[in-house]
Amino acid sequence: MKKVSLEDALARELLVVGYIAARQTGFRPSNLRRSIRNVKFTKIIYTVIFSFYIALFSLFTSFKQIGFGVFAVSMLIFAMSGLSVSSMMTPLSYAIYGSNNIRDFLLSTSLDAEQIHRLVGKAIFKTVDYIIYGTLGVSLIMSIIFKEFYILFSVAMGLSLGMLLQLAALELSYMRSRSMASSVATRSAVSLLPIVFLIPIFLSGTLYRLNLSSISSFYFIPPLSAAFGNSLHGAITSFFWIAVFGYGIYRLIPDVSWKLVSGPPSAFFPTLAKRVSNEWKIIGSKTLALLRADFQAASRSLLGALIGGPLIVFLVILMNGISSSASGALTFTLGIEMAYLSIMIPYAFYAMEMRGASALRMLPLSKVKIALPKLLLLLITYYLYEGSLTVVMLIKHASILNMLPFLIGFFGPAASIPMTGIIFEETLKSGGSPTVMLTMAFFLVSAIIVAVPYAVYFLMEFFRLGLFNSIIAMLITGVLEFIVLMFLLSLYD
Amino acid sequence: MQGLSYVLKVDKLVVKYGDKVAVNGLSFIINEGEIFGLLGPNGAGKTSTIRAIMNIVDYQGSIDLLGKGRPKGDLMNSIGAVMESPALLESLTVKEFLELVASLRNVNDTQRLDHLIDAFELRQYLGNYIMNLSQGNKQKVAIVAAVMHRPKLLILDEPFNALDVKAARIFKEIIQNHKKEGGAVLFSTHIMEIAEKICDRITIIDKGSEVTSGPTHEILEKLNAGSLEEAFLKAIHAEEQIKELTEAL
Repeated sequence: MKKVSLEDALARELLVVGYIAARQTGFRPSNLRRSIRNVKFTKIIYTVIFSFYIALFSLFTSFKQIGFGVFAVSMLIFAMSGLSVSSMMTPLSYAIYGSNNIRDFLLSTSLDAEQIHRLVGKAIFKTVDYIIYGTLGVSLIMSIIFKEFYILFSVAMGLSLGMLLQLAALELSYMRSRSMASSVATRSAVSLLPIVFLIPIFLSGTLYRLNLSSISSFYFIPPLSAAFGNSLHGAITSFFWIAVFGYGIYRLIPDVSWKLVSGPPSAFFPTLAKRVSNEWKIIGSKTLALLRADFQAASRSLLGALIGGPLIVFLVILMNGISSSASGALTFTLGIEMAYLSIMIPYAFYAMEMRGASALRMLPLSKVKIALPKLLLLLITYYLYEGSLTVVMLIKHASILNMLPFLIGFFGPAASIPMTGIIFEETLKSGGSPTVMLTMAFFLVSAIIVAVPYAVYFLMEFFRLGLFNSIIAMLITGVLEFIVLMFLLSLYD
Repeated sequence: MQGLSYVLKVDKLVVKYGDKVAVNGLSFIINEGEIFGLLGPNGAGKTSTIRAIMNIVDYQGSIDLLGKGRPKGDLMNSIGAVMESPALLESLTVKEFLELVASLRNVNDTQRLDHLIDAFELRQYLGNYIMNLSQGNKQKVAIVAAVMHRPKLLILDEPFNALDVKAARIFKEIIQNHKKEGGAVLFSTHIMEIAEKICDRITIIDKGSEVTSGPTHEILEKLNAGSLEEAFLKAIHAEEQIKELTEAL
């Protein structure tokens, strides 16, 4: 019989439970062997994707004509590295919900607490080992090739801070809150910590204009110090911060690992009951009832980050708009960013419902009815985002015509909702285990679906076919996409 | 539909997970005012059959609820189900979850909801997150959610799992009242004592296929068995095997 080390088995269990989410949906994976293979495949795919981006951004260093300076490249590499460990460790948080089994199993063995700490700690590391080796390896090679050691420091800084923030988020989620306000604050902090890494990416439009000399007095602040990694003082400072973060990880891992296998986090599921009235609040509208439950569940879930995250990024984009001089290109870039951002919230709600999918399947809800609350939410979010941007642009004396396609083109983003519904139905069919290919397909297809109506508008405008005709063509394309996808979704009933 | 007496008709049902066949050509009918037992050992295909009826897994064959076809959309309001592992939204509180179910099922009779909550002693847990409930209390929440709207068909998959004696007794009374009111019950279990007491008709399945089927008393006579447990073991040819295995111990 082939021997499997306990730490390997634990790492696999934490990842498989997290990714499959089988116990959350109530669905059994139809092919467990494939689901387990998927986990390993996911690690490899993530490693390849993030290593590729780090290599790509590093290349900017040698192509000065692109216009990205050392500071911007360093921040982008830092953000990518942080996101890589962060996204790989997020499923660990979901694994918590199914981890009682791991704890019970470990306690039934002859292992003592110290050994269990060590084993789970190693298992946590194994969830991100490929990413760490891959991105560090690529950055080392790029640093040597280009003789730009800030690349290596930026990656190391991103990885260490990403891991530290995720561990801190997990640690924080176990803190007992004494009041509802502190409970909400804790939940928000836990959900939003990893979002830190998205900010440099969305600020890249501003970052690329900054050069090292303009921020040289801040070289000692992480993660800025990584950008000064080519100089001795920058390298020493970066090394110091990476060591500090590393020490933090070293201290947090044993504690977090024990908590991970000891039960659900108190910040999300306080053992104290909520005070409730005896009056039943039954809503006549199924759409609003489902929307209320989605919000209730979102407020207690790490998936809340998917809601809080876009809101923060929305503010970042808005600030970007305020600080930049208005132009047609800028309006277009920010408008399309807002459109993509708005579809993330309905996506988060679908993901939320997937965790109780078998419960929902037992209720009188068609697939179209499940999609309706998301549509309502998207409508509000979309016009909040695009409306705010329009106000900013108008204040900056930009032409309203630049914003027109975004103010009218709601149906492109709306079509992404039935598309998401279809992706989730396919996911459930395979036992609640979203495959890497399926997730990638979602992002790719959604990107196309959202963009097509806008593209039609701009193409018509480019060929000077008239504003009215462009708007009508855009509307027809969006509505067609929406109707066809809604019909396809209804076939899953 | 006038003159219709069956509530659920399952015909030549096949459920597959990849290459593995979980249910192989199963057929049965459940009539109004009838408690139908679907019995079988672990892994026989009982839960897969129920998942197919609930439209949770893909299947071949036909499933007809109340002459209106496959259960889906609004037709799901004619079903109430208690699954082996309670299917609940764990991050909601008990009250939030029941309010969601009541809203989606158009339940306006809050008095019945209050009676059910009190009968299963859940009032003190209304503000608790479902995630933090004991298995027994989760099962009680699932039962309340399943019966609050007075469905035509109750689907019960090992419903007495983790229930305390009092709650189990109350639930048995609810099942009997449901039957008297003309409702139908699909009762799946491997606990023969309960099945023998409450089922009018049973089908025993093993390895996804039907082994025997008929009214409970007829099966006992046909297999010359003193109890349903004995009949069950005879039907799946396990008696000899058990003897050999226990002797080896």
